[in-house]
Amino acid sequence: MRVNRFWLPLVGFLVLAGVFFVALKRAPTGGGERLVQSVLIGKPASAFTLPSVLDPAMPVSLADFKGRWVLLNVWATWCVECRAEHQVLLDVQREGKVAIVGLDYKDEDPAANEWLQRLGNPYDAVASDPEGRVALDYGVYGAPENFLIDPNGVIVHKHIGALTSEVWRRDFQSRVDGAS
Amino acid sequence: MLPELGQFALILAMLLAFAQAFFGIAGPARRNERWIAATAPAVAGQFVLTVFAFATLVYAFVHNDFTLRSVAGHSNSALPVYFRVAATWGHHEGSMLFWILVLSIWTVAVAAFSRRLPRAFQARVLGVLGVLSAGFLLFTLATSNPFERLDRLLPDGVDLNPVLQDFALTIHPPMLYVGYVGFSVAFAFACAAMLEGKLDQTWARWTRPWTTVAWMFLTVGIALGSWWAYYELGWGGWWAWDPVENAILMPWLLGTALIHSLAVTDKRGLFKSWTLLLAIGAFSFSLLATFLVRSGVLTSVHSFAADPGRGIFILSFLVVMIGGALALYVWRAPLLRSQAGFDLVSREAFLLYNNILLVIATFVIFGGNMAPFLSDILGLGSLSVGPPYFNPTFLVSMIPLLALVAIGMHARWKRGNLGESRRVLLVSLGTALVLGLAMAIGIYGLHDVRAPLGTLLGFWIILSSLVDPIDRLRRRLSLSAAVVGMTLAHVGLGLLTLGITTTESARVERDVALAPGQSAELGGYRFTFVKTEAAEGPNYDAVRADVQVSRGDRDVALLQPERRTYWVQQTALAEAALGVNFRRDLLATMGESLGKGAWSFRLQVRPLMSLLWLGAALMALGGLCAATDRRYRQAVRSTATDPLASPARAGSAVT
Amino acid sequence: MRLRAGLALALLCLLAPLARAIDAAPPLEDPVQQQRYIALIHELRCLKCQGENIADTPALFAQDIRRQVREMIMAGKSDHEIIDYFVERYGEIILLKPRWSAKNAWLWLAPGVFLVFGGFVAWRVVRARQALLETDTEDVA
Repeated sequence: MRVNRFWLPLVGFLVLAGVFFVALKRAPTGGGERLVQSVLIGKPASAFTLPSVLDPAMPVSLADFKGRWVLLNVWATWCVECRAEHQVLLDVQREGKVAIVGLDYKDEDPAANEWLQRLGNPYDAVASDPEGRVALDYGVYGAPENFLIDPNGVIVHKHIGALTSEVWRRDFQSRVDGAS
Repeated sequence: MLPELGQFALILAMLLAFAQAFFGIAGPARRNERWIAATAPAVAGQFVLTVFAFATLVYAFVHNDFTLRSVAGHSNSALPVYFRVAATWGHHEGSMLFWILVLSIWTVAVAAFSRRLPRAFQARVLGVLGVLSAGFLLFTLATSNPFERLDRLLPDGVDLNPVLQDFALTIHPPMLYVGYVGFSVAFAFACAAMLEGKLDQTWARWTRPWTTVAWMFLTVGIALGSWWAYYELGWGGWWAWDPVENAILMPWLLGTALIHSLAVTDKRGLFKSWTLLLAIGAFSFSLLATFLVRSGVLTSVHSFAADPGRGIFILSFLVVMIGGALALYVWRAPLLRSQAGFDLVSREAFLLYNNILLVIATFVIFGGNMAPFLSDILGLGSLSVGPPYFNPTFLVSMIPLLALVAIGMHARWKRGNLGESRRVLLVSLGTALVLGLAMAIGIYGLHDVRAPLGTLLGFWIILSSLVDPIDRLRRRLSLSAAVVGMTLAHVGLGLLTLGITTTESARVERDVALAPGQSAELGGYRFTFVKTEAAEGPNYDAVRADVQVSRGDRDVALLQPERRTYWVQQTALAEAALGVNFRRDLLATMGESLGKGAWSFRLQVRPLMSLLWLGAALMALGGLCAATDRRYRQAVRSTATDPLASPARAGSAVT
Repeated sequence: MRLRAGLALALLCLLAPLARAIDAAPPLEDPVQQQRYIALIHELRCLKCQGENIADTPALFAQDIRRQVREMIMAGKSDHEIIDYFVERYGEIILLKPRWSAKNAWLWLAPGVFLVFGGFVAWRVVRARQALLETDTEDVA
């Protein structure tokens, strides 16, 4: 079997097929939304100061929480999945391991207030971001999104989609516990 | 009861497909006449069973049998009948059955219409098609059974995605399937030739009409999809370089190269290797398209629900089929050397450049399409590739191609030497230049420096295509169907070029907020929002707006876009309104209600948009015409000498 | 469930564009800036949708991106800086036009390289066939 150019198509094809096989083996089940791995992991969380949802005269800054672990939760009243994760946030608040800072994304304060009153307020501070400017800074493209920021202000994890207790334990709590 | 029968029929069909594959391939190999003779009946039996199975599925959809998972998941009793039928293939399982049905139809057609093929060769072709059928039937029964029952009874179905509830979308998939599944015939012919160890001009002559017809259907299918996207999605985009759109463009490009390459093999026994690879390639990319849409490797508007398990099954099947064919190629291709010669500007040379450029275009699109996926799994981060990449890179190979089309048409076989054609070409080039500049600059204003190039090429191709036929008609000579077909197709290409160039460079669009009575000026037209009124359809409610379009003091069109809310899925959908004539398309799409009766609209004026569809239609018509040429129906005497070694002559008196 | 939600979301995105005014803001005064703006919003991808660009989608996300692009243009940032800004926060996946970089170079060089290689193949084949013209006595109509 002399190696000549006639082998090229077959070899090329088998290489391609191999690549696809590897990809399929690695693929998670299901399609739908492609998860975007955050490029911000490992980078310092962007500083911000926004008015609080509860009281516009009160500023909320990320810097207020320096030295603590922070769960930055991007949410909105128009977001269906946020409703689902609300209970998980309340549970996390009860555990008290991290500070929870809410970022109310492209929402309206009255509606947000009504929501928190009705469902409970899990946040140590909740900032109002009606124009989504801070969210843009964090590479947010929808709600809910959750960031884990370490005591030095570095983003160590991002989760797109609702926070479940399993995700919290596996991806967030483990990192908090692991570091201490 | 009926669906169970349908499933049973499918199982039998699969068994027959295996039989067909066995008899078709082993028969000639063992020179067993009885086995060879058994192939055609297996084909017929499989066809009947497949039709029956498909019919039972359609019946289930039409009669709202919601105990079937497919029907419950994709249909609804409020859905009009014709959409219920379309829903049969509007989802993964049903579309797989449809794929199998289409393959069966093509197989039966080959069995019925190629009596003049040597029996052994025909058996091999049917055998290869049998392998394909068997594989797909196995896959469908094992992983994608359309007849699966639900374990509970639902009162009604989830409904067909409203975006799919549209006439064009009922025929777009069937046309596409007939097209790209049809390339399986060329693939089977190629495999049969390789199995036999014989590939000559006669073989090319047999393969051509099948390939051309398949190509024609694919052209229509792609054009329909594009047309649908254009008027349904509302912002005038007709090609988004979506991964699945690309997946179906690639077989089309290779198919185009194939029909041209077959012409060379037919005429001069050259390009055998190219033709084989193109035949394998066109169908391979068809299979690849099938795989990509269903496996979750690509996410796209078109993707069916992703499932890596299915993906692996299909991929394994692909490796067997394509790998097998390419292995046959390794075995046989070295024997296909021809000793024919040709010159630099001969027709063969131009068709060589044609092949090369189309293959380059295919590879470029393939690279761009696969890049995000590759980047992901190689751990190089996320990447996305869209129109800003594909548009320029596609043109890199297309522009030279279009230029060569105009010239190549006049090149003679073997020696070339354009001779007198040179004068004709220069005159047509000059005329095209004048017309092109007049159009791009004079009529439409120079918005884009590429526009004159596009119009020049478009006109040149059209003029160049018409020279010979008109000359022949003037001399009162007849035109064969092949020549008519070729002319139509190339003129269609020219029109397509003109249309795309103009509509993309000279279009105008605006987003405006209008209160009733207000108007907006755009591209020389005035769009006046008159009023809205409520409307109702068979399964939706709508708000319809009246937008009066005028030019100067004349009323030109009344556009009535709608905002529809479909009852079942509760989704809102905007129906764009179009005002079409040869010169331009006017589009109006409703955005959102802004309160107090005001609405936001997107308005567009797209010059010469119709040329796109006309061009595509002519191309398809040309293909159809060419396929009906007499020479394909004449008895062809196969060469007596061994065609592998010598420059094969068709020997017989065929033109 | 995830799959359905994802699909529903994707569907909504397909339909959402048709639900609102796409670009409510008036064009920029400087035509050059407006050109840049139009070009840039066609190069950025709406991450909430299936492969759409920012220009043709009214999703909330897209509106914010357009506003940001507009503000950055008016603040005098170059196209390069604007692209960098988004890539820093969202990754290269937000670009529809792959950036010129070491790992993307092959994408942009491929067409040219293919053309050169194709030309080479053509030259070789034509040369060989021209040589065969001597011995090829076949008469071709």
